[in-house]
Amino acid sequence: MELLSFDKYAYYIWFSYFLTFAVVAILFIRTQSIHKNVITQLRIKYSRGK
Amino acid sequence: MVFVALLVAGAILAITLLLQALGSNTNYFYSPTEVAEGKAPIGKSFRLGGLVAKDSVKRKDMTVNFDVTDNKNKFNIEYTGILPDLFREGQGIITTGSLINGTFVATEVLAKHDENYMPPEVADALEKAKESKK
Amino acid sequence: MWKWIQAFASPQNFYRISKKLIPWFLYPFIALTLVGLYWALIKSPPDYQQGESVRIMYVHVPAAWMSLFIYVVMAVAGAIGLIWQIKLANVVASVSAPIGAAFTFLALVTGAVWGKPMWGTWWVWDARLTSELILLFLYLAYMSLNNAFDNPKTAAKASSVLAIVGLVNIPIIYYSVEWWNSLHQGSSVSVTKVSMQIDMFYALLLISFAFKFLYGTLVLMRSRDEILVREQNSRWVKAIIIGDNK
Repeated sequence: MELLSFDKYAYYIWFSYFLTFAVVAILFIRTQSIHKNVITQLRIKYSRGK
Repeated sequence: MVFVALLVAGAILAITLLLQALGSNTNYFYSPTEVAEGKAPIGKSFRLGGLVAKDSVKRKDMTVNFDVTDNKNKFNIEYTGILPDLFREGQGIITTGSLINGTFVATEVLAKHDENYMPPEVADALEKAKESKK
Repeated sequence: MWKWIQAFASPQNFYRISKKLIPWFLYPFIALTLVGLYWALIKSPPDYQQGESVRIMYVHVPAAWMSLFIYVVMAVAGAIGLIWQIKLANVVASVSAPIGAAFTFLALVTGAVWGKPMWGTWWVWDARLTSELILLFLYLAYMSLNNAFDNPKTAAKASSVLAIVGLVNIPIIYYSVEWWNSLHQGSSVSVTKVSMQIDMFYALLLISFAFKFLYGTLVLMRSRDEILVREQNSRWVKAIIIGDNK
């Protein structure tokens, strides 16, 4: 595809955009895993307290 | 509480040191005029920054010879090696090296570009407008 | 007025409202990203000097702006938490730090990848690059300090002080290219002038707004969980967790 070929700088450009995508994805994944962790931990805590 | 106080003291110390370091030697390069005024450490390696003078670039094998100017003073640069893509006449560059018998023998040449971005067609049009004004 | 602010900023109230707010940040983020990518990769022209490599700017500059913006938010929230003892402010400050660090990292790495083909080097120790690297260390120091205490109140106090002291680095980063000779060029976008073609500017603007909404989304999501942890001994949290089937 000629549209997005970006001549001799293609590697630099695509690396930058994929890295950005990866950082954003990791931020969301980490947010989700924190959420799951918190819910699990608190459930354990409350079920022990009963 | 003692820990917090120590921490604050440490942070303030770090920032003071940082500011001091920044104040004393933060300029990344010297301009040709500063070098002419004797502000650069002659005899040692230092960085010289300016524009590549028009019609001054001469290539011979892998060695390039050109003038760097700030429109007041200029120095002749000699460099052997690979130049960055942006290197061209009129371009801002920063070069590391030392003055030997009036010639700046460079070990590194970096390109410095400005904050203006435009498509090639616009740049051409601007250049033409400039030419016709002359 | 004061009572109203405190009531609004109460963890329980925030927890309830924030859930409804998340879509208002998440969907604009997605929309702005898609349109922004179109402008950045397709619609905007190559540069007369830098060719196609100018496209790296559309992620590099917004990421760098976010690194400064989030730091200021974090320090101001930390100060509010310190002075007025508002729990929510401490929560916002502490969840902002890793997000800010991520954007700082992104700005540094995309900058290196742009610097290599254009300047001829990945890295130089000029004032702009060095002060941005110090910003990354400030974020990391804030995070480790925040984790160093078991008591969240002490942690908030210590880390907020660090954040406020580190605020001095922000104008240094911003004005470094004017105060000193640096390899990094001056700012292309300021309140008074924009020195780039309009489609380039749109690409830059769209992605930087996308990043702002991304930050909003993540802060809301992470603050909610942070609140649950900090308020785990209160009855409303217990009610939510026990009733939570997700």
